[in-house]
Amino acid sequence: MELYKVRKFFFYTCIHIFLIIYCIISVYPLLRIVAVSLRPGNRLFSTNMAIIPADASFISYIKVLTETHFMLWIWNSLIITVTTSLVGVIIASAAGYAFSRFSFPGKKIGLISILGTQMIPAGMLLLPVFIILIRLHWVNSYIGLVVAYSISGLPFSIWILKGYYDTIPRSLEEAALVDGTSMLGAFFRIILPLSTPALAIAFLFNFTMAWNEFLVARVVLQRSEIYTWTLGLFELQGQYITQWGMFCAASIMITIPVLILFMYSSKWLISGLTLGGVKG
Amino acid sequence: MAGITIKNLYKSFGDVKVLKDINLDIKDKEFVVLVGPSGCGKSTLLRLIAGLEVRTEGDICIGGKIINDLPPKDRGIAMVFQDYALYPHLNVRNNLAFGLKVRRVPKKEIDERINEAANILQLSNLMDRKPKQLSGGQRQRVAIGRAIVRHPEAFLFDEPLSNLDAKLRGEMRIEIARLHTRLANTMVYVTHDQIEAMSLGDKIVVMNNGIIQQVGTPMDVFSYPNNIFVASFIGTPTMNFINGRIDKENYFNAKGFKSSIAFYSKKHAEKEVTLGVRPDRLYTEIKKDRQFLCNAKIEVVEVLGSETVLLCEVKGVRFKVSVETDHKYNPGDTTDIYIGSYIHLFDPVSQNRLS
Repeated sequence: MELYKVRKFFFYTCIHIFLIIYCIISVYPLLRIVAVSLRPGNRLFSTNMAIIPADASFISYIKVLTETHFMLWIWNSLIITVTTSLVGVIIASAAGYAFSRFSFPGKKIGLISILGTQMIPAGMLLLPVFIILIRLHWVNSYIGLVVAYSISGLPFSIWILKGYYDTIPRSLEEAALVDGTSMLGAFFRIILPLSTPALAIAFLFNFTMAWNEFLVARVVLQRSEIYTWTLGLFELQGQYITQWGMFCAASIMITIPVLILFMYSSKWLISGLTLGGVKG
Repeated sequence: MAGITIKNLYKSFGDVKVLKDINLDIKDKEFVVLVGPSGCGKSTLLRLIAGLEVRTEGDICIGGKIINDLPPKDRGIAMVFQDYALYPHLNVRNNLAFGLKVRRVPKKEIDERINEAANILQLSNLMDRKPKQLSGGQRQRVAIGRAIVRHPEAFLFDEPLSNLDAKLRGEMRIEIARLHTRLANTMVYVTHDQIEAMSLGDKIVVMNNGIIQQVGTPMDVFSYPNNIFVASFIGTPTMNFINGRIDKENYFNAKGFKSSIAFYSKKHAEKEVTLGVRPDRLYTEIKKDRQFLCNAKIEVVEVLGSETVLLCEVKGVRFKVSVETDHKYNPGDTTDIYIGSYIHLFDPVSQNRLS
């Protein structure tokens, strides 16, 4: 019995040590960014280990807000990201429902093909997407980027929603049909309200994907007035000198919207991941 | 209120024919029970009436109007589902009101109808609860309430009690019977439980393999089963069947069995038959009007409380005999078995009842 207790203690101690080390490794770079953003001047390579330096100041933050187009980049990013997320969720919710509930020729192949697109590296899709956007005259516009992002986010969203719909008993829709709704009415009045967790996770996935994206934005957007924050931040990197203090201050500020969104929807996110994963 | 008529109805799923040439007439205000084993097509028939499945061939009429191509919402029916199908995100009040709101019924009328249904089904103190906060019986009552408030022409029940425990099932069965008396509405009820069928139905429709085997009142079906399937499906314990031959003296003969069936006409003499007799129509004591059938060995004694069932065996043929609870039999005993006049004869090939 004693030996069992010792083993158990040893086992849990090891796990805790591992988790603590893992947390430090994960959090340390973030803390360094905070530290650099608070250092006055451009002192990236200072050997000072203090997270809040002795001469800490918010000068980098003020500079980012006053000397760059930071708020414009955030605004552009928000427009593109929110639109992408909404478009993605709307299309995926309808497509996922069709895949979940209806039988039609090519359903299986369609589902596998959708999943297959996720296996192709994003870089490979860059050129064809760019050519399509040129043909449509959507380069240098919000809509071009929204379309490009929505396309890449849809497969995951469709699969998540299809999986979630599969867990909802069909009898609920049938009851709604008997009660007096149309098929579309049953979808809007019954299925969608019940799918909030899956819709939230699809929205968040699209949001973070579009919010953090750089490569496609770099290719599609060439006018500085419609730059997203990723491109704006890239602008801070000069040929000979990079404003690391401002760079880190901007990075910290940029994480705030996503952080708020995740904190707000963490409950949905977890239940969405669990429930959506039951089937599909 | 309206009757339901089904004419030459067929339903196939791909190559599988689920319903074959269904013809059924359900009168206005009648309580009809569709009963049969799993996969017999009874639920499919109900779903066809509801409009949740598309027919392959044939016609369905409600109130004399062909409704083949009408969507479920326009058929004037309300349905209670096996798994209740309550909307999980709505409370009881909104579950009850859903169908009325969709149909844009005035708010005042919605409130009146909901309160009426809540009183009938004793739901008044549950109105603000979500379905997950209700017990199985309460959920079923809400599901029934959702149907009642609609004031439909016909109610459809798809095995509504199968998810409840035995005690609650008994209670709900009585509530449904009361409801039918109170509402005096056409009701079609699907079950695989023959006790539910017998106790609830004005008329029973026994189905097997997508075909209607017999339509009749509960006692008709019980007393005059059309074929061996109906005879074996209706009644507990199930009917005993013994294959044998009737000789020219009108004696039933089988290996180990011999009995006069002189009360039967001689038209089946010198024919192979299947003798069907219910366990409570076999006796261990001789009395007037009883004929000796066989001498049987008792294998198992099943005590059921209100009666005891003896599982007997004669030369490889097993059958059941119901006796009073104060019997004296033990496994391994032998006893003489007698039959009365309540026997059935079936054709062993076609399995149909011999008139």
